[in-house]
Amino acid sequence: MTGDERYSSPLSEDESTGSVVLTYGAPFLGTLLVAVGLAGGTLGGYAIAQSELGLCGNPTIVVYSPAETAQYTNPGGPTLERFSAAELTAGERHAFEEALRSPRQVADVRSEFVHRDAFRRGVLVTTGGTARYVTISSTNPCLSVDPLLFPLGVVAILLGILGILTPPLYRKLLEREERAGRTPR
Amino acid sequence: MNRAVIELSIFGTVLCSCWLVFWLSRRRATQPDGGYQSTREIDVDLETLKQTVIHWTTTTNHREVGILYILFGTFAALWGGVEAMMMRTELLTPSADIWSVETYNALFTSHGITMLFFFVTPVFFGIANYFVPLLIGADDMAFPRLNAIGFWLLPPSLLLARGGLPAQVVGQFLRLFGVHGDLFRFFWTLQEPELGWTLYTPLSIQSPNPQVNFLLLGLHLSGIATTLGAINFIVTIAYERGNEIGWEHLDIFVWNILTTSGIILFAFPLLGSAVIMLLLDRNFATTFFTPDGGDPILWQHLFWFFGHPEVYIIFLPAAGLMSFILPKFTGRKLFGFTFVVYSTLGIGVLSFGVWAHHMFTTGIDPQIRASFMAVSIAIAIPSAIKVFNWITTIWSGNIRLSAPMVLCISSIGMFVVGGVTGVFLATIPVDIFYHGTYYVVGHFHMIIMGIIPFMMFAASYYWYPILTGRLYDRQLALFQSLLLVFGSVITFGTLIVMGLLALPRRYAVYPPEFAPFQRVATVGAFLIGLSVLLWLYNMLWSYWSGEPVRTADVWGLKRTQQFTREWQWFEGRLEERYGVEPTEPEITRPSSTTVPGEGSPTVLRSVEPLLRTVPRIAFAAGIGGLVGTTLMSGVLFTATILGIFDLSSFSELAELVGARGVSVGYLLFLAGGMTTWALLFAVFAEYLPGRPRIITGLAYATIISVGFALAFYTGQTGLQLLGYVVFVLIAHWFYGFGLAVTFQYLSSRWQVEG
Repeated sequence: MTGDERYSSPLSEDESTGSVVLTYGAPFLGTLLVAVGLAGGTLGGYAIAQSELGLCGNPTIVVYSPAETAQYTNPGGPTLERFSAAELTAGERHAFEEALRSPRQVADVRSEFVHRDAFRRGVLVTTGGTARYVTISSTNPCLSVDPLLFPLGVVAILLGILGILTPPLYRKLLEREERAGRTPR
Repeated sequence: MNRAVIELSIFGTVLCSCWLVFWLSRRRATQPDGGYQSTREIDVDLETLKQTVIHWTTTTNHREVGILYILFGTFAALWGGVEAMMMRTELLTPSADIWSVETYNALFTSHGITMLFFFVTPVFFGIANYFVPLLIGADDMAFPRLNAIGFWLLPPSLLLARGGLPAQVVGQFLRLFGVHGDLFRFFWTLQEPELGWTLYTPLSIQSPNPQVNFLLLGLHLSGIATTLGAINFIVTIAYERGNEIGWEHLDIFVWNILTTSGIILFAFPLLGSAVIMLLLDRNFATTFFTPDGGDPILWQHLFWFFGHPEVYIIFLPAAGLMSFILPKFTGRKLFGFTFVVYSTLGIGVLSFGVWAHHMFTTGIDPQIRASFMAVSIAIAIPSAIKVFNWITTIWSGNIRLSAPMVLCISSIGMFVVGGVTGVFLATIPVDIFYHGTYYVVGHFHMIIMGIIPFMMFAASYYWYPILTGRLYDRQLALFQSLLLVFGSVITFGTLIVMGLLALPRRYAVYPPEFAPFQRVATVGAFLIGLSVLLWLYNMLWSYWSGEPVRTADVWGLKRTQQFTREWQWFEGRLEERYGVEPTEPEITRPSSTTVPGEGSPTVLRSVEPLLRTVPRIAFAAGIGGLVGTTLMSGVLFTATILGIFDLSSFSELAELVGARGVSVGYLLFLAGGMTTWALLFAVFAEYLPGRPRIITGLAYATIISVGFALAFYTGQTGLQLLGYVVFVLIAHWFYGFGLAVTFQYLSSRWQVEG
């Protein structure tokens, strides 16, 4: 085989089927396992971390400016439930006020959310004589998957890495056997 | 979950891992490079560092600017890729319980913008910067300083467009340390836009997020950078060619870059104008795109007049790479070179005439929609010409399944699927049904993933020896290519299936019954991600520890006389720098020859007479069709008098193209009889049953009469229906008779084989 062929031809003819399987098959299965493991491990791992770190269960509300609210108070528009700020629960009111202060006009409702259904449909909250349209922009539900996904995912990833590393490991094994003077299988 | 911090962390981890691979491979680099010790030492003293920074920020050398473009594009691709992985992770579950809905919206917006504006165009500009001057025998680009400026406008434009993410992270850190006040408010207020990459109005006007303004400025700046680059390519190709390189000797890749640059010249300034108008609407109360005073749909018209050519701006360089690389691994010249060039130019022109097919669902005028449907379907023709030429180039070639070739062949497959699904989408009724579904996402990813990055990877492997003086790990490259293809087919094939099942796109929350499909698509996407990491590893590791190049003819191109100019330049450089002697293979043969069994002779010999006879065949078929349709009309006229055929069916035919009236319908009927069916007869006559030709004609007419009977049926029942069927059959036999006899007479008179 000439030098230029060595690097451009597909596979040398003396490569056995076993060699092809070890070179391409094992790493392919390994990569597949890593990909599946990443999916499962992420879900399982995050399900554990999410509730522990309090990353879920607090819906985000968005408060529209009085000008933007105008379209929801038109006579021909939808009929929305109206609240004064005092009617809201402490958690709801706190989130409402935080959203008013926030440049992004959003805030999380961090405690009891009694009027959740109304907020999901959209409500008009009046404070100081000004009505503002408020609605839930993201419910941030908690991830509910089997926590077993995490260890299974990790195992899949580890097995996958083993598969990916099969070709170099096999080469090293053969080299070691050759050095030891034994005939490689 | 805190998306901003996580995204930056993953992105940072990928970049750090790259550096680690780089560092580890450098430590192992001990092999000679072209006969010299190859320890590419990096001196880390301050002075050297300073000089290196000054050198790379002020260089005007086309190859170095090219490398800067490629590095920048790769950086953006990794960033956009991380977002793709995050999106797919969110879609593992039906509800938005990993990222919030807002985060998901921001992810698909920034993914689209990053990939289209900051990944694809810069990488292709990088490849073109490096290789176009070499391929045309130029010393450098026509305007080297402008070239450098064109590149250096890109980093600030990326920062402007994507600044929301780092700003969010800074804002979070400031809040963590209790910092408040204006600085905090500035960073805390900026966030990644959640508009979709098309920035549709009125949402993009109403969004209070100030980052949208920076995004628009960033896009404008990137447009200026791209236009500067395009002007430079056009001038370079037109005026800097070597003396021996006329237009007829331009490489196919250069033709594609020239066409792409031409499209850029017309498309990007329009984006700039539209973006400025949007900025004015957002900040200075103009009403270009507002419902009161302006028109939100106007934005879509302007945007897509840029946006659809943009699709071809990113596709054509990939097609050029395919046409350039594919012949090298088949040992044959690109089949139909001239037609591939014409198809490229054709796409360049047609790309500006199809924008409204993105807007079929906006309620624009039905007749306008029909026209755009016609042009959108027509643009498939030059694309198909390319595909047929690629396949014909492979046909009976001496194929070497190296990584670039695997990517080329897979790309053709992906492009065919992406293209055919696109033809369906160009059809108004189908588009109205599938426009808002994953079908569209699957379709365009089949193309923009299936050919663009595939060809970039192929080019990176093919030209790796020139770029680095080393050879990459061949087995790893082959494995990576196969994995990439597998992952892409799984991912985007699944998206198409989900679209066919009518799953709406752009939503973070979806019905639970789609979860298995989404999970398969996500695992496929992770496979793509892993394959990209393997490519990165191969590129970085081989840069230091790869096999050094011992001959410039790495791919054995001299054997088929395809040792093109960039390799000749590389050979000269190796000899000049390292004293590597040029090699010459023992046996050579041309990649295109008329000797049977070598090159691409058989097809070429049979195609040339075919090209001469095709117009005659088409003309004979047309005349035959006219005679046949006239005879058929007589029978249909009789049927009309008898009351079993309704002329209103011709009106329905006219309505299909947005017109009215029996006469228009009849003219269309006549045109169809003279073109479509007559040409089909000319093509299939040899394979149809029956001899002599008149029997063939009758058989053909009998077959197509079924379609006519269904299409022109107007509710007849009982005996009327029986009469209708009988008359349709008789009318078609008359058509078949007239067509076959006339065709046979004319083709024998002109001595052409039908």
